[in-house]
Order: sequence, then C-alpha cells, then structure tokens
Amino acid sequence: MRCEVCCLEKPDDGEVDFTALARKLGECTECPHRHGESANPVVLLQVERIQQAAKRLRHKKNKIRRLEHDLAEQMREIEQADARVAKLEQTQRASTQAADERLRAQVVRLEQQHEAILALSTPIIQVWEGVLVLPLIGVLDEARLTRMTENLLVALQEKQAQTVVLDLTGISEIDDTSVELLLRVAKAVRLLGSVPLLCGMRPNVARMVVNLGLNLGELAVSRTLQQTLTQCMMSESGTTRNPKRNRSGLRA
Amino acid sequence: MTSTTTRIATVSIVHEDGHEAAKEAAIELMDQLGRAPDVVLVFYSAEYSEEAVAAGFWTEFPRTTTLVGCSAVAELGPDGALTHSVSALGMCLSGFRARALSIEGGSDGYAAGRALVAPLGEKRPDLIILLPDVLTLNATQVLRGIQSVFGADVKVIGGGPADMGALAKTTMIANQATQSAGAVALALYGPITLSAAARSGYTPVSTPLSMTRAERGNVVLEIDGKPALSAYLDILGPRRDQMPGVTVEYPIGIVHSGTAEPDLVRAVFGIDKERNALILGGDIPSTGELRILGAGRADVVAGARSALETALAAMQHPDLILVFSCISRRVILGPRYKEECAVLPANVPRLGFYTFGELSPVAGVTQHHESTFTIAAIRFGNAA
Repeated sequence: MRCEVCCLEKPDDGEVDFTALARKLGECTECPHRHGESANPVVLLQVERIQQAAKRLRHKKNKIRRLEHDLAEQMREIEQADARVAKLEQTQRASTQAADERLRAQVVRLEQQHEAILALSTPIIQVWEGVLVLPLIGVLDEARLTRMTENLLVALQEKQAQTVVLDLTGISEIDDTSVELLLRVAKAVRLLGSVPLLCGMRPNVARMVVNLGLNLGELAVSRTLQQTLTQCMMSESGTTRNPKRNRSGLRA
Repeated sequence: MTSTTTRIATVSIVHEDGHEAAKEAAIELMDQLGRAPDVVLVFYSAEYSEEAVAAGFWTEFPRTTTLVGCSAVAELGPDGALTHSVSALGMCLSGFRARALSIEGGSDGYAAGRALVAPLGEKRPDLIILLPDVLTLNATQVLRGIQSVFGADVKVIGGGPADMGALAKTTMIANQATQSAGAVALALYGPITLSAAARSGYTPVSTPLSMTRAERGNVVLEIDGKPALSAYLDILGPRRDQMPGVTVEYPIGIVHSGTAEPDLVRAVFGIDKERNALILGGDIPSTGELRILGAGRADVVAGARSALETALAAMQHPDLILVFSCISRRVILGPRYKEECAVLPANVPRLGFYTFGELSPVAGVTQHHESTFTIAAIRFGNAA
C-alpha cells in the first residue's frame, strides 16, 4: 500500500508528531524511497532513525506519565499520612489532657489521704479530764513528730490538761534522732506547764536506748500504759503523796 | 514431538485514557515481538472502562489474536507493581493453541464453571488461566465445576478480577466481548510446565474457634455457637468501627493445631446484618480449626518471598512468572505495596494483578485461596 501523500516528499508544516510519522512510514509498504531499485540508503537510514526516535519518545512519555502518577499517588499518601498524624496528635493531646486531669485528681486524693493517715497516726486521746494520751505507732520521723507536737500543743491549750502520756507500746525501733524528737515534745509540754510521761517501752527499744547511750533526761518513765494511767488516777484522787515523786506520782 | 517456539513480551502503560493506554500497550507489544501476538493476557486498572481498553487493543491487533483480561486494583508489569495502568503480556506461540472462554451472569458457581469450559468439549487444556468474578460467583464452586469436567488435577491458576476496593463491580474482557459478571478464562494447549505456590504470611490473632453453623460453605452463621458477625466484631475490638473495609485485613484461616501458617485463608467479602452472618469469598471446609488472621508489612513481604522460593525450587529458569496477589495485601502494605513484587527476579517476564481471591495448585490440585501471594512459574516447550 502506498500513501496518498508521501510524508517524505511533502512533510507537514509545524511540529513533527514522531509517533504518527513513524507509524505512517511503517504502514507504507510500497514507498519507492525505501523499497525496490530506487530505494535510497539515506532515506532508509533516516526512516529507521525516525522510528527509533519515535519508540524512545513513546517510552519516555510513558515513563514520565508513570512518574507523574507515582508522584501524585505519593502526594495522596502523604496527605493521608498527614491527616492520620494530625488525628493521632489530636488523640494524644486529648489523652494527655485526660491523663493530666486524672493525675491531678489522684494527687489531690493522695494528699487528702496522707493528711487523714497523719491525723490517724497521731491521735490525741483525752482519757479523762486533765490527762491526754498519745499512742505512738510505727516509725517516729521528724514530720510526724512535728505534726504531733503542733496538735498536742493545741490540744493542751484547749483541754487544759496537766498530764500528757506518750505511749511507746506501738514503737518497735528507736534511734537517737527519735529520742531527741521525743525530748523536744516533752520540753514543749513542760513549757506549757504540763507533765510529760513516757510508757510502754518494749524491751528491745529499751535495749536500743541503752546500747546507743541515749539520754532520756528527766522524762518520767513507767512500764505500761495501764500502770501509768492507774498512777495518774491515784495522783488525781490524792491517795499517793510522795515528795520524791512528781505530780503524777511517777519517778523522775 | 511437536516443535514449539515462544516469544514473550510484557508492557505496562500508564495513561489517563484507558483506550490510549491499551492502544499504546498493543503497539509496544507488537514492537517487542516483531508482529502481532497470538495470545494477550491483560490486567487493567479498574478505573478504566473495559470497553475503552478492549477497543484500544482492537485498533491494533488482528482478530486472530486471543485476548483475555480483567480489571485490577493494582497491576504488576515489567517494571514492578503500579496502579492506573494497562499491563499486558503478549505471546507468539508456535506449537501451542489458545482459546478465550467466557460466561456472563449466573449465581451458581459450579454450573458456571462447567458452562465456561463447555466449548472445549472433552479436550483437556494443559493450563487454564481463570478470572472469575467473586462478587457474583463463588470462585471455589467455579473451580469445582471446571474440575468436575477435566478432573481434579487440571492445571488452573488465576485470580478474581478486582475493583478499586468498593467490592461493587469488576470487569472482564474475552476477545471482543466485555462483561461485568461471570467469568473469563484462557485455555492453553501445548507442552507447558507449571510450578506454583501460594503463601500468605498471615498468622493467627485470635484464639482457636470453630465454625458451628454454615450455609453453602461460604456463609458462616455461627462461630463457637455465637452469631458469626457478632463473634467476628468482638474479636476486632475497637477496629470494628472500620467495618466493612477492615475485613480485608482480618481474614479467616483454617489452621491445623501446632502450625503457624494457615492451611487455607478466606477473606470476609460481605456481611449479612439481618442474619448476623459473614459471607466469605470461597468455601471453608467443615473440619479444622478456625482463627482470625492478621499480618504486618514484614509478614506480607516474607509470605511473598516464601511463595517465590517454593515455586522456583521446582523450576529454576521459568519463561514467565504470573502473580496473583490479594487486595488485602495491598491494603496492609499501603504506599509500600511495590515491595512485595520487588522480590521477583528481574530477568524473567512477569505479569500479575492485585485480586479478589487467588487460584493456585496445592499438591497438584488447584485450590481457591484468599489473602495470598500466588506465583505461577511457567515454562513453555518440551522439557529438555
């Protein structure tokens, strides 16, 4: 088949469409410039070059389209990833805020509980008029004894008590710091005109006091709370009158 | 012994217009082969119109070319996996025969399978590349229909045509005809050697379960005595909010106790809210332990690599590699979906697509798989 208009003899004006040109050249099977005796080697070479160029152009165009598509696909993925990240950040913020609020509420609750525990761990019992008992339990630390002293001094003023019994029955260990703190409590009691009494010291605590060489000073000591209270009672009723003993009838 | 020769070319063309993409693919195939191919297998983006794609090919090919293909969510071509393309395989075959088959519509998979291959008579093909629409047909039943005609050991490979993930409509081409339901196939006669493998890489994410009530094999009504859909949603937990799209990520597997790799995987292709049931893409056998499966990106790629190694262990130098990989894997891999097909050897022509279910032989008998990377290594000609 021969083309009606030979594109080699009358090329189109304007831009050359390589793909269309190569296709047209391939379809023309009776081209006198490429077939038979009149075939021109220069034309043959040029046609082959055109066809090769058209093929390369087709490949390049496909590659460009593919890369453009890949790029668009990746941009979409990035947008989706950004949206996911934004959503995650929002969720994280909300979650952090909720966690903070929970934590703050917990801290407040813990502080309240701590206050309650401290209050419970330093009770001041008025066993009868003029006599207060402080049952000490667990470990004596500075914070606890400071708080106990504050509460005790307030109670002393309110109750106008003459005697304060520091009951060590619930104390299993003691050291020089604890003793010093106890002496400080006793001193404060004396300053308010009341008499501090110590009782309920366990044998191992007594051993610690001796081993450590701790000095309880002039603090009156008795064996049990019962014994101390009995003596307080007797002292109040005036059945015991011993000049060597203090107001509560205990040996200093 | 008949002398055979084969020339194979593959191409992927990306173009906004499906007609232009197909036309350019045809030109490129003819360019590579030096003439029009005898057989063309094509997988095209579901974004394209099937009529446009078919018309694009037929502007270039003579009517003697056998053309079979289907729509895909992503395609595999000579440069790897890609989307929005027409990817095609062209073959010039001497000493082989090829025939395009199609059946439109219908809902009885078994009958459709038998009807599809009826034009072949009793002459059993040496390889069938089957592309059944799983949205309208049960692919397992289509396969069983074909096996009932030619025997259980007839070599069948292929995959379910796909759309862009909406599970709404897939399309197929068989020669000049196009369709959106039923099935198409390419039957090949001649000395063909096949080495195939299917691996998922998915592992159980649930405790062992058992299917206590089912209907027609692929409708699961009860799991462990509870309504199947509710049981499935309970296992998904917070991700149940992403139904139905999330189902492709959590297929159902039959796992024999003591093994990590599921023996059979089934994707949940639909739900029946009224009956609280799960509709699977294929049948589940009545025996075996049931588990919900899941996978990460690394698992999916490892599954693909395992399938390749298995297929190439039996055939080291194939002439062609066909790949059918499940859409669920594309979802899991996300923007890194190209990594899965990157495991394939670069020096062997390859073509494939991301499917709605895969077909591949296991121990000589083709099974319908889901969520797998299915690879078919093919050699044309008499064994040396």
